[in-house]
Amino acid sequence: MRIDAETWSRVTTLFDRLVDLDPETRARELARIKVEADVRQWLNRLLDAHDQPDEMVIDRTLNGVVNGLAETARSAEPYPLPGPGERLGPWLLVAELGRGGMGSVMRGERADGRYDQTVAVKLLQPSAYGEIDREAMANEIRLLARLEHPGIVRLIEGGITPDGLPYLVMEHVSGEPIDQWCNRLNATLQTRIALIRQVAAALSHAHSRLVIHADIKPSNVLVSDDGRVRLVDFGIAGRLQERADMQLPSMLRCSPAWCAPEQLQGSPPDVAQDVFGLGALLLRLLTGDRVRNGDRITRFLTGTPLVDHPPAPPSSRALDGLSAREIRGSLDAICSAALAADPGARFSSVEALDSELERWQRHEPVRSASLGRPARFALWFRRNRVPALAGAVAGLAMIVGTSAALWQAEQADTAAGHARAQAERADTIKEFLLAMFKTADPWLAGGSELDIRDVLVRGARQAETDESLDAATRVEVLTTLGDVQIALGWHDDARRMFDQAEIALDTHPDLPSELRGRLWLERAVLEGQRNDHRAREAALDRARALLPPADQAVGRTLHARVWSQYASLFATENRYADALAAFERLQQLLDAPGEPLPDLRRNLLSARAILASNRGELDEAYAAMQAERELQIQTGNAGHATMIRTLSNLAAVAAQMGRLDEALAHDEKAAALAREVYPPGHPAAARAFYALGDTLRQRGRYDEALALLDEARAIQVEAMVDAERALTDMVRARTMLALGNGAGAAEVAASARRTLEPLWGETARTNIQALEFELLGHALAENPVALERVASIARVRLDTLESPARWQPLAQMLRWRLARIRFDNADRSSARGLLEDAGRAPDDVSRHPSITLRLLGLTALLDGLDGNDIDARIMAEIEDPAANDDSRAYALCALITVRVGQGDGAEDLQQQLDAVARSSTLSHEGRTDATCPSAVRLASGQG
Amino acid sequence: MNELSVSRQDDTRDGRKPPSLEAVYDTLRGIARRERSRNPSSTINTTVLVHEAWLKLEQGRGEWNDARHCRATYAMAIRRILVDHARARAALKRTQNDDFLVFENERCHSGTAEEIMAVDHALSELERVDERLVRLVELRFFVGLTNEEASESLGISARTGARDWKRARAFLQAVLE
Repeated sequence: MRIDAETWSRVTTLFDRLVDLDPETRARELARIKVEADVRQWLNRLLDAHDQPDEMVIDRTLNGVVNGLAETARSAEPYPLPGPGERLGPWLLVAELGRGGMGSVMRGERADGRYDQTVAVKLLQPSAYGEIDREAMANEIRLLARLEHPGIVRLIEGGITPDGLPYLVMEHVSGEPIDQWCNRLNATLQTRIALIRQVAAALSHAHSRLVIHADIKPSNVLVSDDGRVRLVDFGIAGRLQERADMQLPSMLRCSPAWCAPEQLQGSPPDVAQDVFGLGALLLRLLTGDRVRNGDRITRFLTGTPLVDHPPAPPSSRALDGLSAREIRGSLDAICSAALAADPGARFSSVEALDSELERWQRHEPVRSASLGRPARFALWFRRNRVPALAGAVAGLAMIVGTSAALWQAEQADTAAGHARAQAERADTIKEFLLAMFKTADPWLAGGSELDIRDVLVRGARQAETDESLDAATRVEVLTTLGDVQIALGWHDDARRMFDQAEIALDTHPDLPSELRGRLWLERAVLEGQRNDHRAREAALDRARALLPPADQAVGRTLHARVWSQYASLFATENRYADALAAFERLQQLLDAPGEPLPDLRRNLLSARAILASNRGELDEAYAAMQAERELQIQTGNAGHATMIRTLSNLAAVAAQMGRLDEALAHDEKAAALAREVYPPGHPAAARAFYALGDTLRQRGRYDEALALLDEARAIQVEAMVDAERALTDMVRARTMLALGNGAGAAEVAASARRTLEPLWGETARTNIQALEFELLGHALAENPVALERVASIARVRLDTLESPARWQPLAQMLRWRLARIRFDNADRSSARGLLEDAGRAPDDVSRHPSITLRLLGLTALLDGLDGNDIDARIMAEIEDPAANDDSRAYALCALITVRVGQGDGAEDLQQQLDAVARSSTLSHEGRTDATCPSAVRLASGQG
Repeated sequence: MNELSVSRQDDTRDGRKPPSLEAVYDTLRGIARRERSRNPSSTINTTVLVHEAWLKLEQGRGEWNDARHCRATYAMAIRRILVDHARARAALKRTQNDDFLVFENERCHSGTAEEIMAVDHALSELERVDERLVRLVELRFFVGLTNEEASESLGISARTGARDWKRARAFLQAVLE
């Protein structure tokens, strides 16, 4: 059945719109739209085709197909995996580290030599798995890449090559399996227990991020030269193997000598399996034995019924050199509890096991009471009311420095982020989430992949339908789940979660208003993450009205969080009076007795600094940021993430002050730190590159700047952080202007403005600046039609600005740009009108020398130099180090032109101009001005 | 006045003409032939092949990454050649493309040649209404580029490329059933 171009065009537009909707919404939309029969028919065909789960031949590459990757289960021969000397994406494979039936591990480096990084690349044999759900795998990898703990070997990236081979790239760690290390060095009992505790700490971190290892064995627990434990191989191989054909008993999805018994039956990953794994390690280090010996494994493989006898206590078979006496009793009990055949009878968490080990270390008696049955979901809720939002998932915080350099103050002030500081306290929400894993619920038992996102959404559904929950608890659970989703970056899910919570609130009007207040606070946080200032303020206003009095502990914390948000918001929007009021209120709350709230204190400092810099009080801003940096270093809270943001901010202010060398140093440090700390593709790293790119631009290193900015932009597009991408585009536009690419710059600036106007308002500073870029861009590209269109928009905007925004430097710059364009087109009266506008700025408004120079220069061209002190003022402003060379060139050229026009000499000025012309930080416009064509024309009599 | 370094934005700056399809065919065949005579049982890799052909024809002028607009031509050429070869295999005939022993690979499923022909036929249908999608499929499937690389070659954003890919896939799936 043939299709014509027009029909195709309509079909595809509709297809794009509908394809990613969930089935219900899509069905509704399909019913709603009115189209011809053939369009509808094609649309349905395409949608049905898209929904087919089977892989298509073009889902691999031709190379993959002809090399048999399409027939994974059937190919008996090992696939020729890439080897030394070959490239895999950005990595160069250097040497083989190991090889097994499942695949190989190669040592690798970055192919572009951009920076030193040695990695381990694990390549998996296609026959080791079946069809892979690519998107699900990509999501899993992204989540695993967020595990950051000294005890965990970091997953840097992973994926599937275009040919169809799965691969994982990890930090390269040289270390020895823990059992070998202990034996080689004859480690004491104390040392062995200490190492096990290190493993527990790493696992605890992973569990708090809802990641189960599921394959703990000595070869996955390395000890590096400095005696530090590093865990490798978090479950991905296991997850992939789960997909393998379940009917082939020879395809074991775990290591039979080490894994929990339920894993042999095919249970999906669970905390209890990791507890067992810890027990298995402990057993190994105490006795040298594996959990299961060869005979048992054979029995399993041949289908003989498997009966797990309880293993003999470790003390009865301790390794030589270890004291059985010290093991007997406590360690025996701990081991037996961890290795219980029934998962319900083991420790309920690795932390529980760890605290028992700690008691042993301190020679305290271990508590058998901690070996309890895990709480079922509903049961747990009946017993433990979900507490206030502070105390949410420990370690789950993504400290996201919102937006780039100057424009926003604080980190994601979610309850989750907040609770990072309270990691020691009972992690009730964490337990709740983990409890969701543990219940024998049908949807978990199906062997489906553990999709964290799914777990959260289904957890919400469960919370809604569980009748034993009271309404208040239900609301709190939903709000907290939403909070977790914000922390993990799933904004739409979070929004839906909050909507559900609100519905629950609406159906129970007798619930305390405080719950609704908390909900609005979380909504405000969400809008903050999306950079939607207006929505954020609206949410904060509502939250404030609903909170309990601030004089009690809980109320104080909530009010403080609200005012901290206000402070950041107002500082970013440069609302001076509002910001000061917010600072004062927040300070009052912080000074009142109660929790120290260090994160909010830091936010206050940041907000002060941002406000100061937005107002041009650069010295104050710089000082405040230095103070923030000191505070961070002092509190040892150099979560590198926040240090990166602080450094970027310092750099931005230094740059505004004209201290470009300092700025560059800070930015380079920040960018280097970002590469170290974040996996590739992380939006926070993009922010650091953006900042460095901007500084390089100011130094005139335009090509380097563009390269870095493009890198940042690509990350931001992928991560779908639109506002940040738009900010990067602004700097790209500016750099393109510097290079003379007017058309490109105008387009990019317009695109940025389109994104930011709905979020920040049409008169936000950035959008005003975008207009200026567009004007210059169209002027350079000699596109008068586009120029006029933007010019009229600009005039309207300028008129709608109210004081003091009306006289801000960027607004003045826009006026000047318009005036210059008019003047260059011989429209002196319009130019003069605009300059008069600019001249109405009150005295106390902040000024930037670059803009003052430009305004003065144009005034000189219009009015001449007689009877005024313009040239003296220009000469004074030129000395200001914060003035950029472009503006100097413009002003000097203006002076020279006037002098020459009057028939006067201009030697001294010409010399100065020549000096500026040699500067490496001139833009395209600046270079043109430095040759001063207007004066040249006059001098040669062309007028 | 300081020297300006060349902008990375403008990649058509030296007005270089892309090679003709014929020239690309010949080059690709030549490389395949040499490879075959050196190593009779080597497996083919179209990504590498295209890169080598490009090196030969462009003689290293500029960077591979900058020659974005040329890549589509190579992709078209590879597709033609491989489809032609597939057709010949299916008909058990010999052609000038026999050095591309693509489907002779032991691991290659016996129906692959027919599958490739079917894909090609479907692509020809699609080409009548949406040329860019077809170029995208050529670059990704026949040459083996990632979404980012293929999108760049076509001068579109990765996001657009991903969206286009969904469309192309759906079309092919619908038509090949």
